[in-house]
Amino acid sequence: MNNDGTNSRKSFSGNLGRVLVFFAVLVGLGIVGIVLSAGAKREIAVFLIWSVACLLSGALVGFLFGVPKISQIDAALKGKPDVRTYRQLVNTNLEKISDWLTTIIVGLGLYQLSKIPRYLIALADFLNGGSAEGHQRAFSLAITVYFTILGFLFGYLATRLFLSGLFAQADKGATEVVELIKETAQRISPELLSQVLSKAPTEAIIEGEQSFQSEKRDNVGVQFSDVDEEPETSDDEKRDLDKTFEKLTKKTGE
Amino acid sequence: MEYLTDLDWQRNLNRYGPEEQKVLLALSRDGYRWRTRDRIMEVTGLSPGVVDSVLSGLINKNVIRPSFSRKKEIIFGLRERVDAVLTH
Repeated sequence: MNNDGTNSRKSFSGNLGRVLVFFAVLVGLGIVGIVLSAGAKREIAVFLIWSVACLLSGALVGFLFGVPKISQIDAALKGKPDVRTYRQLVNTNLEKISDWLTTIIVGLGLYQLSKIPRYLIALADFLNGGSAEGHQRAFSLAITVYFTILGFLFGYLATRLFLSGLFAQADKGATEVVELIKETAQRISPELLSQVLSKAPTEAIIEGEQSFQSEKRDNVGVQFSDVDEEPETSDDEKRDLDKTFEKLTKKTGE
Repeated sequence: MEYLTDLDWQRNLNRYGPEEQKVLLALSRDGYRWRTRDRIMEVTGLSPGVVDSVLSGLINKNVIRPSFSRKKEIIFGLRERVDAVLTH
């Protein structure tokens, strides 16, 4: 389980690295274009800020398009509307908002499609102080479209490839912890349960005892990593324990 | 497998009652730094209620540490044995 976890974490960070490098190169190219094309420092600054704004707006829309939908139907309770049990559900407000906004964006976009070039030209003129020459206008338009699409792609890919997994992991982890606590509460006393929950490290509740992992790294050996969940010869050990306990008691008496 | 006999808690035996000593002894088994509650119960012969109360007291005294195994079982270990691995 831990090996799988480590491998998936490695491949996750590897993929994330590749995507980040890809987008960093494209953003870098855009910035080089701005620096080469814009003349004065102030102009460069304005275009850089504008690029960042386009990038972030695009990323936000990309995120909204990429927000995963969560199925919260409990297979066991499906078709049994009378069964009422207490359980926590994941808040899906963001999912609903993303649904509404993406529908509005696509609907309005299609409805206003013919007017979009006019809006973009007006925007390019605005960026150039009210009026722009042909190449200035083209440059401003290119910057706007380039960074917005880049931002959208990044937002969408990052959400689909990475954030969805992280959301799922977090939701699954939280559900597992709640289930584990409920199950444990049935077997041990409330006093011990509260002690365990207050003193056991949070990572251990989610991933299991951390020292097992550090032992593996140090090559201390498998023998000491294992917990005695698989019973050995219990009677023998009970006898051993009684004998050692007697010895200890004698020692205390002396 | 035997019980470790050079542990701190054994040098301060008077601090612990007989039931506590039994549980601590079960946690001193060579080769097993972590033990489940069921196994502690089995080898000490103590009742579930007593084991829970003893474990709870020992956690409170900071002598043992609770954790969870990979199979999500609650496990207990002597701090002097289990914390040493983390600090290595």
